[in-house]
Amino acid sequence: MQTRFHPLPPILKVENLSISYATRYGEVEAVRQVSFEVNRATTLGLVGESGCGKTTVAFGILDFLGPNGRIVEGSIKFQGRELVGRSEKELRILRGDQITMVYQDPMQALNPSLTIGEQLAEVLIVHRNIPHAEAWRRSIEMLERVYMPDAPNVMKRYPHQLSGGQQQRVVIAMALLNNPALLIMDEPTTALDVTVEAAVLDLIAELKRDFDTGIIYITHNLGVVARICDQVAVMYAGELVERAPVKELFAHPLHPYTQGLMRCVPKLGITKEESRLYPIRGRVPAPQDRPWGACIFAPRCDYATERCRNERPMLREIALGHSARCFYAGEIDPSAWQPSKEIDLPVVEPRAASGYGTVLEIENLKTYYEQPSRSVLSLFGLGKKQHVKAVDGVSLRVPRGITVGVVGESGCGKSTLAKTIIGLESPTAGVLEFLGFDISMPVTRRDVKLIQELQMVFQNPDSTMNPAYTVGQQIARPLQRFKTVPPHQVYDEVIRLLHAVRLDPSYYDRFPSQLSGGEKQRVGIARAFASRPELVLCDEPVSALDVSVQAAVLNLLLDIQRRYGTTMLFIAHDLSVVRFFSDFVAVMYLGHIVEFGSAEAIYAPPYHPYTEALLSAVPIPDPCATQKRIRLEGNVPSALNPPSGCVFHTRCPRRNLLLDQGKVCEVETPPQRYNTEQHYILCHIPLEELRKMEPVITTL
Amino acid sequence: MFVGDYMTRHPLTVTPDTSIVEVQGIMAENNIRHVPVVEKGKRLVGLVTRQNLRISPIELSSLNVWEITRLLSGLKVKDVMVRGKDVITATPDTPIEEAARILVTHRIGCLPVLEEGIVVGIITESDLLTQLTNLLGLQVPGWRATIRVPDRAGEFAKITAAVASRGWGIDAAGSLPTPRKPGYWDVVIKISAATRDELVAVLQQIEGQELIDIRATGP
Amino acid sequence: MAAGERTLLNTIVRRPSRWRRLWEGVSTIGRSKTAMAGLTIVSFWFLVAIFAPFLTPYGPFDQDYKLQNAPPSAAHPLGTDHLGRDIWTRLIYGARLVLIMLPINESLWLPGGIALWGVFLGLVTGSVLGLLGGYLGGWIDEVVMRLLDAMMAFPVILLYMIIIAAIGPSALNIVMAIAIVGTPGIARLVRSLTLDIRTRDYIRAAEIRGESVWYVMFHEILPNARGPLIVDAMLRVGYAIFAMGTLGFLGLGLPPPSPDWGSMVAKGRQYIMAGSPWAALWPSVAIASLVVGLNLFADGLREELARYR
Repeated sequence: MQTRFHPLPPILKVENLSISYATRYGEVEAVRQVSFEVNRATTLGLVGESGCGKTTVAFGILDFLGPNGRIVEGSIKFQGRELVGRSEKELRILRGDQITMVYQDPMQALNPSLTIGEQLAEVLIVHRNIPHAEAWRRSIEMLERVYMPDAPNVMKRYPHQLSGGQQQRVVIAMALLNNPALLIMDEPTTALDVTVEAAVLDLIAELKRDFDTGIIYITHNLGVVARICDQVAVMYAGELVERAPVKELFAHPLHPYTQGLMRCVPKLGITKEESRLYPIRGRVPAPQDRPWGACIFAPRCDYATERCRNERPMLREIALGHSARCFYAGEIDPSAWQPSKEIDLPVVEPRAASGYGTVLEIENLKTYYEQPSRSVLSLFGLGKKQHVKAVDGVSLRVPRGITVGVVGESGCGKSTLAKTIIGLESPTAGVLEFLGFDISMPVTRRDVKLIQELQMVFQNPDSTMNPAYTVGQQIARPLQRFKTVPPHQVYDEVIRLLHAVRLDPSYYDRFPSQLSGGEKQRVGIARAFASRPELVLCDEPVSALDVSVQAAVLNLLLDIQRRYGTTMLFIAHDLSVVRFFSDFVAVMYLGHIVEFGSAEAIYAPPYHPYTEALLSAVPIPDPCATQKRIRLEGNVPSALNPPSGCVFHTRCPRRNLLLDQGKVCEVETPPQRYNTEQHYILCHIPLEELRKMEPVITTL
Repeated sequence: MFVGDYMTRHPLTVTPDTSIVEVQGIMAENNIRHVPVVEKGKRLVGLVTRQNLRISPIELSSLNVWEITRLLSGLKVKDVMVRGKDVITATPDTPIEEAARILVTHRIGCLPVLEEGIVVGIITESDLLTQLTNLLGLQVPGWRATIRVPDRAGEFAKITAAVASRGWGIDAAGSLPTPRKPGYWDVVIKISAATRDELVAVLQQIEGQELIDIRATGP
Repeated sequence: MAAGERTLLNTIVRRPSRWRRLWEGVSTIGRSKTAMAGLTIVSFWFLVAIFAPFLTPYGPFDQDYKLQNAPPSAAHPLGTDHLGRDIWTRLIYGARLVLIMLPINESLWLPGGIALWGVFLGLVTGSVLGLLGGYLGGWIDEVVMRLLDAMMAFPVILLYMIIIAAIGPSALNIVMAIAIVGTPGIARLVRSLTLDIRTRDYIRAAEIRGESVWYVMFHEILPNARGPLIVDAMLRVGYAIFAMGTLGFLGLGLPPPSPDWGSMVAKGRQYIMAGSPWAALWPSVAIASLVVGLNLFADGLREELARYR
């Protein structure tokens, strides 16, 4: 930005904002005395776990609080004018087309029955009285501005014909057509794949600069914050606990909660041994249970004193532009922090894969789904059958007692691989052996003894438990079914399992609706481990959880695994979590494992070009870390008709290292090149070339 | 160097129905003097400035305190603003010197910047003066040298060549005809890579030119 | 853990949780005015049906030749019909048939009225078919659903008449008719709920435990469909009562002299013009109030369930 001698007024100034909702518990304060400013061409990150009031603040600004919500006190000044206390009609004029919101789910903002072009042009035609042809032209320009490939054609398509990343681009383009002064983005990239997310984040950063728009970016992901925010406001339980410029916040977090959050997230930049996760004990209090005359974080704080429990700290400025709501901010030294006794930490030690025997042996496994062709002939069974090649020739050997992580973008076949192993899908071809027995049949035809040894932990905490039964009943079921313990010992065993997942016996009679997401996931883990299985598949077990809970669940899994000596297959899209959790990592792309090796080997050169791109897309919670900027073009090709030769050749950024711009990649299947005995890369580029590459992430 | 690059985007705006008292508050609080008046879709309908808000002394003397208060509280922006067609405006592709000329010839302080009738920004005297300071390199600390050169082709190239030969970069440059001395131009360059003595030595060696001033400037 | 300790733990932990759930259920209904209004009407009919013998000095078949088609009086609060039978008595004994007792033959009866039994049997068959179709899918789903569609193509009244005409009018046969007519709708509802529930992870968890199809259907899916199913069943009891009234009116109801509400209306209808509308009016009011009551209750319940989902 150009030098200015007098600062421009902030676009938005929120002061002492309190918002409450009328609920069946009476009036509940969801947001309490929050203050912040948003300037032109800057991004304010609003960070916090779920239930901390981030979205409520955004809705307060937009006056979307609904019939039972209201602003209790405080002021919201937008463009110099007060919004609180005005009538709805006045508000509409004031905000007019100057504030736009982008949601997590782009389909919420797009009308499925209108073409993209109609929806974009409408913004200009209706709000700005611009003639149709001109509006159409400008809409195309804006689509090109957000790097939408083939913009004129996209205008004629319907939302469902675009991928998630493209839909989000359309929504952003739509928001920008209005040229808003303030853009509120509520987790806009959370539902996207990491490579798409990286591209959208790049775009947001660029647009902020070009349009001088002030952005409020709501997220729970500290990595995203570090990448695109200028200012950060950390929220906890409805209060703003810390506010600082991004680099300052990551370098010197002042509030114990912020410090705790930083210790919760796995970091990619440092070595695995250093990256231990320390969860914050306890949980976010529900709005109706929040203390009034005390520090809201005191019950979970390691530094809490009598004063914190009897007096409410105010947000005070400790360094220039850096405020925290803590009596002892600035006095606490985070480097001297020791985990409290209440948190048990697993011992993370690298494990070797030799000498334990093999639990799972997969060779050239293929799982195809039949896709009925759309022609009339198929009605009579004559149509040409097409196959979705979800898993297409995967070979994997899982030694006993170790964890193999499987990573890849959505649609890479990692979930189908898990389903095939567990027996919910039948393999089309290939060898699938578990403990030396063939398991290439559906689960219903497997022997009970085998079923017992192969269990699974699911992704979504809200659907992992049957809402109709109590926690105890659900954990007891596998015990009864597999007769793990004699019937009269079932109760004791359940209590023991509850204890193992750090839940006290009172949970036995609770129903899932009475549990938080993290607790449900713990019960899911207890259920999976109840039959003392040999192999547990974890399908994104922590991706739906908040960071502090995520750390606790990951530690718990590690601990249980160590205690039972269980082998695990850990499926995830988050590369930092996988690295923290796994001994070996398999990188999947379009049904193929393109790179396999120990966790350390995967995250250092030589990389497969796809792994390299994935790593450079991961948001790292450290604004000072530098990352190579490699962005993949286009979308993952359809598995109905995968590219010839190397499946990655259509998007590979490293093809040009080969002769003829990588002609060979289009024709020949790449060889497995062994870097070490346990690390191979599926690529035409010789290992020497790949070794020469710089590491993707360097921290200072 | 066009208005679009240097204007203030997303200016504070008011609607025709805003009360005068509120506008005065906005201006005072944000330390601004001009506020475009817009209707739905950010279409420009007028402009209020601090002058518009003043009540003439003659009118004032005829009223008592209560009447003034009542008069003010009843007044709306639409009663005092400069109306749509009378507002002089610019577009984002107007060159900045052109914008400056408009401001000077019309003796006004600001230009709302329009794109098809829609307010996309505002450019004020201060914005232009700020750019003048940037033009002469005030935003970087370094040496500001003023050199008087004869009015003929190739003189500026001599300076750049001399500076470039030492591997320095010119951070900013500007030139004006020397006042009251026809046939000469005063060139100002800003250099941050050199020390004062090195710079003086280089510049004094250029034939036919005169180093008339050198000083440190910066933000 | 010692056994004594465990029982102690049980008493501490289990009791409050269960009572609290019960209390929460009741208070949920209590919050909805609609549901409370419906519940009041429905309980009224249940109570009078249960205590019928104590609420009237007459029997349902007692005739008084001196008092035919009498208007309401102190002795006969709702008047009498064309045979001099007390309408109030017949009404509350009629409610017994609908709600609390199902006569099999002269001496044997089952608890639970005709409407309740009919809907219950419909629920059983409908749920099984819906679960089979929804969970297994494929050709089973196709066959089951096409068959039920074919049944649904008939107008409901016509279907009732065909069934009763075929198997003859008796209490048990009316139960069958109600069950058969109700099955397709219930099956459709259960199927759609199943289609949603079977995508949940806990169903995956049961499947990878190698649970049988029946276990998954009845232990994992059905309990989670019960909320909407209960609401639907209540509405269906209302329809069933209405259908019973219609059948009775058409002469296909319980054979006389049973105090069947529908046949009471049918008989009483002949005397409306003769200046004594009571015999037709009161059974109609009874049918209407019970149906409205059930509908209100079901609606209120549905709203409350949806609100706290």
